[in-house]
Amino acid sequence: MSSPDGEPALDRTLPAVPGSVPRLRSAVAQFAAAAGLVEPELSEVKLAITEAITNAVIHAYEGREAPGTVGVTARLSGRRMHVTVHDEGRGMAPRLDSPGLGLGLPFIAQTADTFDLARGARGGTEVRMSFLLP
Amino acid sequence: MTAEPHAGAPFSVAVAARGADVVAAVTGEIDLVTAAELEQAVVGPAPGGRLVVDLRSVTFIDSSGIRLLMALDGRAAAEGWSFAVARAPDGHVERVFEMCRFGDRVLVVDDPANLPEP
Repeated sequence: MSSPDGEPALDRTLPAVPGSVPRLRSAVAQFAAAAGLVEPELSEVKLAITEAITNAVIHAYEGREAPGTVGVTARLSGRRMHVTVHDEGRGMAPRLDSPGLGLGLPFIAQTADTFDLARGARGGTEVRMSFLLP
Repeated sequence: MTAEPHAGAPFSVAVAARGADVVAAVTGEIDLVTAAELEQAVVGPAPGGRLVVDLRSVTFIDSSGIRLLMALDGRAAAEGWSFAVARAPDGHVERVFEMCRFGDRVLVVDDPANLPEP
């Protein structure tokens, strides 16, 4: 992967539907493997980004008739891989009827070296994560 | 034009009766999509029986998979059967189990052939 620092080396956006979860996970896994990540860390990267993508699919467009999009960008900077999962939905909000157990963000916290949540430039949610490379 | 990256390892579930036990052997990656497939494929045993979900050939699991396993554990209590999960002791599934202390709630074993009597 020879991209200048700061340029997204992976940039993919798909409809925010369940079938996009394995496709985006696979794309990030290929990028991470090419950057030198191996097991068991590779699967932990997959877990973190899967949780962020799944949150977007389940929550971001809740109540809307048509799903929006969920996208992933990834880039390398030194010995670190930065991955951002973004949507254009309603923003992360408390949900009394949440279908999950609330495990997603804690799994991200356990596996990413750093992570934060931000409002996207066009609304929605950005989950920004970084992982140390070997 | 590069080919679309493969969308994960092929997912499959093989359900078999073994005495009073029902064993569901799972292969591949468990996520939002495949947890729903697994939920559809799993058949609860008769009261007094046991369901064993064998994850030794599962290479990836996320919170959707954990949520399904916890739901099966809840069904076991409600319907009067018991529940156990097998996984490789040194793989990704075990690492995820450790993160959420899954073994505190559910019987986790290395090999479904060596389960105690229910």
